[in-house]
Amino acid sequence: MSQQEFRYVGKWDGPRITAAKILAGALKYGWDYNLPNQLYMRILRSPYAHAKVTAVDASGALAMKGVRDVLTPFDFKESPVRLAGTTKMILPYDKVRHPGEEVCAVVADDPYIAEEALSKIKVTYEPLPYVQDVEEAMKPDAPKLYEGSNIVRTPTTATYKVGDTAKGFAEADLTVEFKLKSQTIQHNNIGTWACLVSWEKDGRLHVWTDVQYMFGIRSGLADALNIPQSRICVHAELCGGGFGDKTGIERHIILAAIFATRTGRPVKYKLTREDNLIVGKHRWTCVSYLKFGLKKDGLVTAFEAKNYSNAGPFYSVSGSGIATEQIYIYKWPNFYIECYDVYTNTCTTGPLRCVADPIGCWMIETAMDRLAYQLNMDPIQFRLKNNMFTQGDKDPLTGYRIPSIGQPQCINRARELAEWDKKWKPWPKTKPTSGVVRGIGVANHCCGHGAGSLPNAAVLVMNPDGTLTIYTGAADIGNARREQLAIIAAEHLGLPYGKVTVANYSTDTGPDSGGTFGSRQTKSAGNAVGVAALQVRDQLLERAAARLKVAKEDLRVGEEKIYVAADPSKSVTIRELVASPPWIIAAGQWTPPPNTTQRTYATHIAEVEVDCDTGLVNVVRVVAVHDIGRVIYRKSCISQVHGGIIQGIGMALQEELLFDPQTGRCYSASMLDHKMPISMQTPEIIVDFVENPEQPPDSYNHGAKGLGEPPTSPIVPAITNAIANAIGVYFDSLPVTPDKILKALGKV
Amino acid sequence: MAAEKVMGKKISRRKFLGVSTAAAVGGVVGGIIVGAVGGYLAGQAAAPAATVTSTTTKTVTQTAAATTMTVTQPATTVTTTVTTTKTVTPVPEVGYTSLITLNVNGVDYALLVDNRWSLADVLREKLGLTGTKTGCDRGECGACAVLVDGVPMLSCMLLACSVSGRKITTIEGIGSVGKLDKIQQAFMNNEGVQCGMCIPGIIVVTKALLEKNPKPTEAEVKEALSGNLCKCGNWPFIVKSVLEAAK
Repeated sequence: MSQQEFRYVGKWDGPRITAAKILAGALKYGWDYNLPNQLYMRILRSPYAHAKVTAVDASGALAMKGVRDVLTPFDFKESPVRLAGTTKMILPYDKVRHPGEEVCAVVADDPYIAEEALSKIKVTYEPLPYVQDVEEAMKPDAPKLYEGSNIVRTPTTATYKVGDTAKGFAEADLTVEFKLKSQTIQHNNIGTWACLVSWEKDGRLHVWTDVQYMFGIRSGLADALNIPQSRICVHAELCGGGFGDKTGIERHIILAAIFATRTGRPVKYKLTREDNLIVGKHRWTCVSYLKFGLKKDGLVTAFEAKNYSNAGPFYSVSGSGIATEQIYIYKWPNFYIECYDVYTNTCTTGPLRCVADPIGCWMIETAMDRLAYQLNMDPIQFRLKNNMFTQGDKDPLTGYRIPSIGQPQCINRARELAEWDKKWKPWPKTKPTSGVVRGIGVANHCCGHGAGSLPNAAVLVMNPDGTLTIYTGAADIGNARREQLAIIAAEHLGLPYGKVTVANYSTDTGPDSGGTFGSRQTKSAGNAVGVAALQVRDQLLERAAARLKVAKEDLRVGEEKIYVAADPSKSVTIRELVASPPWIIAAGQWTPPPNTTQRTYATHIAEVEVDCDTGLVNVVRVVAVHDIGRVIYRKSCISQVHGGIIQGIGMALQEELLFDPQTGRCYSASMLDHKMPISMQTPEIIVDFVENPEQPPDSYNHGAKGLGEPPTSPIVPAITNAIANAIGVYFDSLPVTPDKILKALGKV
Repeated sequence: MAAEKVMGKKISRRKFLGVSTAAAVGGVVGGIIVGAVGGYLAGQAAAPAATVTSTTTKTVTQTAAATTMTVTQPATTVTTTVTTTKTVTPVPEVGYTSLITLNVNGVDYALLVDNRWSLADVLREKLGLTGTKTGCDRGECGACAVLVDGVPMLSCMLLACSVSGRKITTIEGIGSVGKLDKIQQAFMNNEGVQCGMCIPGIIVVTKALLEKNPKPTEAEVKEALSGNLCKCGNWPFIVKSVLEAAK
């Protein structure tokens, strides 16, 4: 279907449904819920990076007026419960494995009393040697976090091999090697994770919280408390920033639920900012050794990489680092990648606006730029030389055809919008010594998503007045989920956008449709809504055919009506068709087609100014072109790209969580030290989309792919490449802070 | 001011945060006052006493340990004229509590508050005005900004007992779902919202900015909002919204 034929897809331009409530301060996040008689929970955290917990004396806290209950690790010794899919216990009775790990929890009538009670709990620790550096942790004599080796994933389960690298290096004119290191970053959502947990009159446990995956919380709680999932209801109206931090069950929700059970009173909790930065999920540090074989004309003949991911103390998400979807940008004839994930006493790792792509994208696109620099070749020419994947190409690892590839269109369009050919100048021959210098940098990006094994489901109900309600458990985390789903259904059914409503989200008001992460919901829930909408459409056509006494095939769906194709004056309104029972109710489920991973592509071009006297980098202008299959709700697509770019500026230039090697403690756990970009750092951003003409297979959402995560990734190498273009220096680690720049320029 | 006699001046736990944020990287306080230094509105800290007419008077009692709110005189029709300099009866210190009065969004409250409670906590937990968000509780993110006598301040950095007698305007006092202010309307039309957590603080600071500077330039808008953090990074549309509201 061409763009012109759509009524709403890519065209509907109204405001978000939730905007007015948010703007008036009326929309509730986890911390905004209150119930009579509620208790406030506080958590005591470990000051050590690694220590045995030998004894806990909570009598001082329990003696305080207003303190109602205390939980210690030893309460769980009889029946240890681990959080689903991880090595995390509810409270660790053997030992703490990272600074800030939960040790005890207390509830009191007042938050300040609860806070004070923490100081009255005496915990006896036996400090153990700790290891925080990923390469140190791999050594045989390193302190061990668990029985056996710290290496949790070895190359036997994580190697990626295509062709013959030995042959590739033999063909090469030159070999280039370097080591790159990414940093640890926390999501730092403005809304730290909060919850209110209560046993309500219906005899069920109700949880009000900010979360990206309500059903993940429900199943995690059911496992931990050993109660049926149907006795739990998780409510999440909206989430005060997710980005991967609030993806599933965490200790504090389970602890609050246990307290609610033990005291019979509602329990409220919110992570403090400091706790959120230390104990939330984190994008982890990766160390990669890269080696490229290169012909003088710019063709890469071989690529080898070893990647070491700092998996933190609990293994949850595989941190493949460099072996990401980035290997689907250039058709390298020979490559070999080995990945190791290693336990350390740092912090919990998890997705941050994609699992590993922001790291892999920075590494590979920085590497590509360095190779271009070696040959003094225009970085875009260099990339074009290296055979980018195009429509119809096959996956080199599996041999299956990749649907819908828009990378070449992205780079060509970005090049045009950024006036690259006019603006790009070769790298300076000597390092600049003072003043402000400008540079321009480019980066490509590929991202595969959909989190395929998770469910994708929605229920659509036609109301007697001809309106439609969508019920789905897909959380809205600020990415206009409601609007995208409503537009998809409205388009299929010929209903005006305003006549489609998405029911409020809780585990009671829709089936599990997986989490809102992995850039998946427009595709996943979107396809489920599409499947259900087509069922509704079919039933409407059947009813209309009976009513108008024509064959179903001769009917067309018009604006709120079904009409006869040959004679549009003969029609029946949708409202007439659904006014009386039996109601039209459709359940849609979607399973991704086998043997295909749908990928999105992007190219970012950044222009920066580097102040050689202060080392400050100012990102002036960014051009972002994304291949997302189909634009559904244009405004929010653009705001997603804006936001990704601004988060990427943080990763490239300033954000980092640091641990003190002397004590093992985190010392940048504040918004001043782990600082996100502010309003004044906003560059001029030009956004464009490539709407790929190929409809991906089994697509019911009008051909849309995902957009949530991709904008964060390519901006990072685009900025660092632009800095290199300005001052002639590539940096081996992130973030590129003023001190690194001044050092590189020989100023300090 | 009676309250100040007893409690001392406005209490700001981290006055040093109020430095100017001319440098783009790192500053987070920007247009909001933490204490009475820095930012474009610094001169406004000692605002002239405003005459406030309110139509309802509520008395809320609480004890330090109780979390439930009892409204003993709900929504009477008593009309009182109060000024910020005269309303306060001397503050008796009862253990850890103070009796204070607050005029919040035009409604007068008499409250017995725990001296440790911040204004943000009292607004949210005691008065149920949860539109004011607390992102950090330490003066870093700007989400909790409210107008104190018309000046944007971080309510997490103000002890409730230190603002007795003041006129407080929260996001709920700027506009409601059915009757949005023109700033809110501009944000709605220009995709100014993503997750929305930072938005109440941004609207409050924008309100103060446009009162003082009705036609700000893009650079002035960005500087005024430099004390508000937005992790969604929706700045291009936020700035566009503010500029449209100023049209």
